[in-house]
Amino acid sequence: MSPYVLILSGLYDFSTDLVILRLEESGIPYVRLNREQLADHRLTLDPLVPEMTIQGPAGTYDVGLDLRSVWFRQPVFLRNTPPVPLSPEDQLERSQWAAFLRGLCVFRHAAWMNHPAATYLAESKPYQLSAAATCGFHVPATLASNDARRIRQNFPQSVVIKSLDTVLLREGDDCLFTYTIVNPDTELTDDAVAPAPLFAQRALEQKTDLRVTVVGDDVFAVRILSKGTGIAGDWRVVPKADLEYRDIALDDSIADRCRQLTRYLGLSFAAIDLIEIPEGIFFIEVNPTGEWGWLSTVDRPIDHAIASWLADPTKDDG
Amino acid sequence: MKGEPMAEHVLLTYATRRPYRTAPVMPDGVQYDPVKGYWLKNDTPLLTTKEFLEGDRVSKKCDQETGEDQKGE
Repeated sequence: MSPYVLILSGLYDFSTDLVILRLEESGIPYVRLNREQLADHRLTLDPLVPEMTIQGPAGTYDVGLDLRSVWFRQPVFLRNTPPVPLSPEDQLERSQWAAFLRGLCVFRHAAWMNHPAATYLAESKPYQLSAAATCGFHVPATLASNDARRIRQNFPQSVVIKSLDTVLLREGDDCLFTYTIVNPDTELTDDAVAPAPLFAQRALEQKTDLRVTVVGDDVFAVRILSKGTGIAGDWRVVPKADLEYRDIALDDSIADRCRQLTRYLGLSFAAIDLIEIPEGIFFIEVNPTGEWGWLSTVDRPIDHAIASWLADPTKDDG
Repeated sequence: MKGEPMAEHVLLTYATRRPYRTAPVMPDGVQYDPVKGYWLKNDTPLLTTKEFLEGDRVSKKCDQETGEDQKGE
């Protein structure tokens, strides 16, 4: 069988299930490969045709010119050093399968959600901010720096501290994660900043968070509230039961900027974080691999939109 | 160079700590169908079951723990 859609995912990536159910309903031929199960298959890529044959638990497929789209739900680079040494076998498996998956970029005729090269660049927060400003967004004053003195000078009253890239660290049996820090209690000393750069940003007061999910030309926007109002600080630390996602219709100009930014970054999918304050709407960040499954509902059918795009990526061209 | 111990980096000072898990805790009786490409419980897609929809797995829990999707090691 020659699939129209190639899905490169992970075994516990439940959002992938949602989209596959929609593809199945539509009768669109697809194949899903999970990174944990790649070695259970026999995969051969001929980069010159291009063609990939798949034999294994997922079935038997010839991935080739019928391929319309690739849904790439894989890390594009290694963020963390493992806390324990990897065996040579593990190292080999990680590096070579990652290279194999990147090698699937030979399917240039297919549309990608998202192309790894575009994701790699779009994951850079400084680059995102620059791109967002180019696309007409208001962007908070920001420095990427390891210079505590400069940060204190530029943000004397209040400051938001963020990591430059997702902080996801391992220590023993624990996982460490850093949320956005608003006005840290501890002084920003040279010792506390110099060893690694961070993002320092103007704190936006009286804020309401907006999450905008862009799929091709479709835009889904929600306002994130707790007890009917915006949330000071990082909303992700608020208990789930206290969160409310209220659908909103963005101004056409903001919706168009979200689409424009997505295209500018070479993406077909983007999860964009905005902040609304009395002064206006500000761009905060874009997540090319952002999660969306928690937002998808019958009335907010992000899963349908992704499946529809994967089935016919050309529909947005008209 | 000897002297006072370095202060911890601010991003580590504010880091939250959780037990590391390589896989989520799955409900009993579920299995992954590699041909269909999704999880099943009693031949029903897991994601359409009440148990799943009312649980944490389809929430932003993963995001809250890891930042964003697909940013693993």
